[in-house]
Amino acid sequence: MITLSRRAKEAIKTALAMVIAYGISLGMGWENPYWAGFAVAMISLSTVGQSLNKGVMRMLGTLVAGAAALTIIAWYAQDRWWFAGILSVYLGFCMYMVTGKKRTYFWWCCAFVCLIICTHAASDLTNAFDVAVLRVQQTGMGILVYTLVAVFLWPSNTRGALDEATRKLVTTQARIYRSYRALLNGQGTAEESRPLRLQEVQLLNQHEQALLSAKADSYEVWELRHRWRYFHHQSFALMEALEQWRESFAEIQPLDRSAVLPNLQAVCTELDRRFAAIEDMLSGKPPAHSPRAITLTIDSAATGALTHFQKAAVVVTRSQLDRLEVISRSLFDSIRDIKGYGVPASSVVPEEMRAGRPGLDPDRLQAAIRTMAAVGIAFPVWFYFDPPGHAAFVQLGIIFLMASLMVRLDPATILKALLVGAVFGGVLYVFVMPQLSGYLQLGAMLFAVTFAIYYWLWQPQQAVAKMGMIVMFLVIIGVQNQQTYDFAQYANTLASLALAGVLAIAIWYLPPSPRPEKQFLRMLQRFFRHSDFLISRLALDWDQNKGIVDRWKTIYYRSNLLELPPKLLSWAGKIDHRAFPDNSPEQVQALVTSLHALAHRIKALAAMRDLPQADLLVKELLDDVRAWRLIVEQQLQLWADNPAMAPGASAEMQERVMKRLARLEARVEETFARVGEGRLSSEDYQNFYRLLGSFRGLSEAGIAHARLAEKLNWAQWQEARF
Amino acid sequence: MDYIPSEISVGGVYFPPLLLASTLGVVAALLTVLLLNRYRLSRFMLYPPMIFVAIAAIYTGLIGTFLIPV
Repeated sequence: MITLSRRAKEAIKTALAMVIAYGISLGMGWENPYWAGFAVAMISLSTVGQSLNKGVMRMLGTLVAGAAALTIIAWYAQDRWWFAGILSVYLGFCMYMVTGKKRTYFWWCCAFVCLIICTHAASDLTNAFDVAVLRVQQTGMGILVYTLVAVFLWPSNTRGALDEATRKLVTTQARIYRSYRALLNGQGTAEESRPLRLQEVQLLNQHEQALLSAKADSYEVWELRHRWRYFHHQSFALMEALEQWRESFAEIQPLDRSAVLPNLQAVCTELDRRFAAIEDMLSGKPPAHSPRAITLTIDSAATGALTHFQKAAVVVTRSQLDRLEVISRSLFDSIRDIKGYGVPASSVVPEEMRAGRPGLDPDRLQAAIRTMAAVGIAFPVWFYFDPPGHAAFVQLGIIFLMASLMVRLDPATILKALLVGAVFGGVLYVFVMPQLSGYLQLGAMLFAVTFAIYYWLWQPQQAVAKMGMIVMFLVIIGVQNQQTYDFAQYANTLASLALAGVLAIAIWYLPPSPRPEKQFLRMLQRFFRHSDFLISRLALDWDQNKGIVDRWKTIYYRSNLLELPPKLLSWAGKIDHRAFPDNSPEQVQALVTSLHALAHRIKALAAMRDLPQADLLVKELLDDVRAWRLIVEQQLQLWADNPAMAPGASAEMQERVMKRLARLEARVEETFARVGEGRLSSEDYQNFYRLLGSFRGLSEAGIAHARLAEKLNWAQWQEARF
Repeated sequence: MDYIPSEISVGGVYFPPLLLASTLGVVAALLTVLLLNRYRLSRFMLYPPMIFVAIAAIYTGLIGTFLIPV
């Protein structure tokens, strides 16, 4: 008995669904059967859940696009400029949504299906409704066929994948926690845990995808979807909390921790046991340990001898470990409820942790504007010059650009994949198809080619090549019930593809430069501009309620700041490091990690700023805090103008900031001595120490960034390149 | 006037000579910008994508004038 690999099984499923979808479409006498083929090709993913999820998005997107297209046609069919204008606004809006995080594929279908129906209608207005309905029914049929094939033939459930992804994620986070605990005790280095941190980010993404799919194909997961979602959010929060904890080690390590924090080891051991218990539950064993509430205590006698900044570091460490305690307990509860150990899943799942972010994202806005520009150029070219391919030029050019913007890939790369697909399809169209007669032979060819494409191009990094090949193959062979062969049609398709590629490339290269290193630099500038703004609003005497715009900007920048490092990391991965040999990928990654730390520090400082501070301390220390803030602001402004640092500048900066902090420390000492006992409450002291801890944390994060920045060759990235 | 523009026949489909000239022009421009990048000469240019279009247009003009009459 032959044992088929998973890869072969998936390829067979797609090929079989393709043959059936074409067979039904041709049997029903529908035009454009390749639309059904597209639906099969696009939703074919490795599990039923993933395919179902994508299929639902495609179907809903197609329905919305059909309704939008018919509305645009009904209202603006008599005026081509209004027609193109409204369509461009609609596509721009969809593209803004596509480049976001949620329901990307739904918005993508809303955009490109509407464009296809509208451009079809523009050349044949009387059949607009038929075209829209045909598109919907072909898409629906393709999705249905693939779903049935995937359900009945070698079905693969995602529940197992979700459990596996969860187990891996928890194991990795537990290992990170243990390595940080060891690091706190002076064993190992932060560098050693870097591979684990990278793995953690990947596993979080995998977990999110697995959860999305498992919700679609597993009833048990659907029932507990809120609990699963909450677990995912808490895992994300754990990642952030662990990072913040590690970043504060430099301040706490020099202290006698066993004296200052007498139950530190007990708290750490409790957390360790919780992670072990979660791992047990995920392996199918009942938990050997039940979490007990534990708080880190501070020995006030031992802290008496510390400096104010050291006291602040101790307070910060306690708040971080308290946070870890809360998160690990909620992770334990989530897994216990999901796995059904102990008490039933009755506790209320808290609301989403992340509130919506106000304001427009400039990167997404840029994508929307480029799409609108493509419509603004493609339509007049079509109206006045009628290039080869006619409506196909407009469709291909705009879709091409939108695809590039969605996956952040140069259109030239996509064009190469499409051209290879077009040549491959052309060979079959010219030499093979005229020899075929009847659906049996055509079906055999469709099966063989689809199988070959999906079998050979199965790796995720080959997705663009796979899509290029299958799309152009289906378009070029142009299967119809009354099949005709025309080389001129093939040549025209090729010419329109090339012209559409030129249009997409031209729009892609409109300023600002789309080169990854330039995008990286621009985003970095934005990061420092936002940081500078936020720091300037942290002045102790700044009125928080001043002006709606300022308040809005503060909220927007605060939430945006933490989103920029992941974006920077994504652009860093696209930089061609062979062209910039002085800046290694490891260096760039370390730089982004330092920015992440900086963003967390600014966020923490902003949160501390919101705590009520004693008026007396504010009045006394206003000038010293301002002096420190001005140094930080000045440096952030310098980085916003130019992120480069001269060699040795970080040492000079360190000296300047530390001198200022030492002065602040002396002033705090003096103020506390002058104020005397009894005039400040313990809460006043705690809040002030936390604020001081944030000052030091931010200063050290800035110095760490400066050390990395001075080692990079920024001039190389700043140089203009083709 | 020795150069008389003539269409190029591929499988019975006639393509304009400008298509071939511009394709060659783009290929030549690609090679040129590769060299400009290699020797870091692109750093003297204000906006390289626009320069690329200009170089491609110049090459197309030269090829259309001297090699393939358009």
